[in-house]
Amino acid sequence: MSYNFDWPEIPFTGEEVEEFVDAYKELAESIYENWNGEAKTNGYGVSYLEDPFTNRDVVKELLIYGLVYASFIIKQRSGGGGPGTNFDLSASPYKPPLSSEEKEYIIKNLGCIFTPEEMKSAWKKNAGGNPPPRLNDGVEDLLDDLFNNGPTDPETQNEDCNLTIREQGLYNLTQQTLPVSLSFDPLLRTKGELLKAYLNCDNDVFTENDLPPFQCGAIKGALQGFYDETLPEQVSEQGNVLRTQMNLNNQQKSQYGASPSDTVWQFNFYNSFGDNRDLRTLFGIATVIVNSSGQIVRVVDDFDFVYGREIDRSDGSVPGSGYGSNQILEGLCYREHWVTTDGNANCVPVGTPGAVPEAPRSPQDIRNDNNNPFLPGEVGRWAVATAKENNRGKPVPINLNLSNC
Amino acid sequence: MLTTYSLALKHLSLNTGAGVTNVSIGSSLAFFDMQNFKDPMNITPSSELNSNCSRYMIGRASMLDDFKYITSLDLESPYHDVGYEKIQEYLEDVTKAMLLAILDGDSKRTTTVGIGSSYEKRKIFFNSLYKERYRDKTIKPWVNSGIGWTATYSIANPVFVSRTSNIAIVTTSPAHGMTTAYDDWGIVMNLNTGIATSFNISTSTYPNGVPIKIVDANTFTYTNVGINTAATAVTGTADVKVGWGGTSINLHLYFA
Repeated sequence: MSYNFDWPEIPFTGEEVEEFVDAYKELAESIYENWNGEAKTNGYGVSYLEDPFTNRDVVKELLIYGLVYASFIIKQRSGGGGPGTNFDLSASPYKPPLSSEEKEYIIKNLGCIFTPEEMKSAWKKNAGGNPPPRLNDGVEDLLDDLFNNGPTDPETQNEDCNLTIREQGLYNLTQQTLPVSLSFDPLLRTKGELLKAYLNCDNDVFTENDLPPFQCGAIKGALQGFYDETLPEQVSEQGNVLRTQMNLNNQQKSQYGASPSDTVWQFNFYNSFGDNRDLRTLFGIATVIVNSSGQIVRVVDDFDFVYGREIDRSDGSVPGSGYGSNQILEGLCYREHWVTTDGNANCVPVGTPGAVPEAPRSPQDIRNDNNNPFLPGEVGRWAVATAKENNRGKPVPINLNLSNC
Repeated sequence: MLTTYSLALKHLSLNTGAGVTNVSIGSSLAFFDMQNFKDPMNITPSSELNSNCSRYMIGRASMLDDFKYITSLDLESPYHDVGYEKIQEYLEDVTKAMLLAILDGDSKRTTTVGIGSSYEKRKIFFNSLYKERYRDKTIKPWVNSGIGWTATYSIANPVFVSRTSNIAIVTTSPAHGMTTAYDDWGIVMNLNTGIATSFNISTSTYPNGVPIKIVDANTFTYTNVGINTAATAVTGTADVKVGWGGTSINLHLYFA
């Protein structure tokens, strides 16, 4: 034995196994011995090897444990009698004998809440900093790995989620940080923040903590005004229902963050009531919680796009809640082969009641429409449509507790 | 070493998902299953991290004045507990690299130790674990001709496909030619038109195809997520591939 390789006993026998084991040990020890001269690095000292194989000692441990595994495969291939074909459990590889229910029981009793939302919340609280860090530094990927069986395939992931110069300019415009003649608009600023998060692939739940008080208050004021000036089931001049109360039991209400005494409403802002308050392009349609005193206390929505990417909520999750990468869908424009448009230039399947009576159009046509930066009131559509073409962007769940705004 | 690491390295996964069969024999119960890698077709290291994850880990490690995010498996408190499944993936990557380096030819279905020098074998070992952009495509295991890992074994001709509960069923004519004497067959489907294209396999994601199960001389199945589809006549090809495995009759565990 050399270099302190503590080789395990091999519980399989046979001529082929013995020959292989000898070759394995000899090669493993020579790999360790010649590591410094043969494990290549580039001109900047960066290893050619994947992590964690950059570490000689880690590889040594894996080589030692891999011997039993590799020789087991050789035994399987060679056949023959003796241990290794019909063998007992003491020589068999097996997983730690915990069922998923047992693991969940242990984790729960350790005090951990094993959901992406709670883990992200814990990350924000524990990571410190003021303001708290956004989840764009790799934690999102780690959580995705945890819940979705392994890391994202790098071949299919767009690595560059940073804003382009053009997008940054658009963002600056929404923040009114440039000397241009835009009036100060808290809702436009919020829309800019959401768009930036979408384009940055930051799908952390957007909460009231991400807003300064004046923006939070402005959103609440706009929603309150909409609620106060409209009636249940009132139909707008544009033909849509302004607000509809959702019939939910207490458990369903709690999913939306509503208490039993609250009412939950679907608000539709595709009308003059929404336009007048700048709510159409911020929310479109949103779920709004109203308390027993008639005060707006929460709004939840998904900042996603039929001409970009959408969140698949078919698992029963509600808008405004966290989601996994496997729930990102291509927008309806792309999922449906042929679409037409509704009265708001959003694509809808052919045959949808109220759709514009025009010839069906292809996703390409719709995308080109939305790639026009000069569509009135549609600032940001071109950015979303372009990002989609570049395989970029993640929908952002919005969950704003407006009680204290 | 962390207990989770130790358990992961000693107690390997049986990967029983692919068709474990339980057979009752008399008063005893025998379990038949096949030991294989988590990814039974490919050789690409499964330990690859996506760029964001890697940047995070490396960034944090650099702040701690160490550029390796796992400094040693022997440490009781590594900077990052990567979890037992990840450790098992690392182990499988190294095991595959050793099998590729040691065994003769393309290292498939053989137990014969190759005749190359120790230096040549080390080159293959390292080459198996290199990042994609640094791989030497002229030697094992990435070489694309002769002993190339992804070399096509034969070509079958699908004539009908259907899908039920995310299992694709393929009928070929003539017979597909895959014998049940081996358990390591895979395919790359390449159908031409309409809904049939949803049965295709991307070689960028699965360079050596996906594993299949043989039903009979003209039929095989594979996992393929999609809507249920009635039997549909198709044209195209199915490239038959060979992965990690061997003669299936030798791959049984038996607990009585």
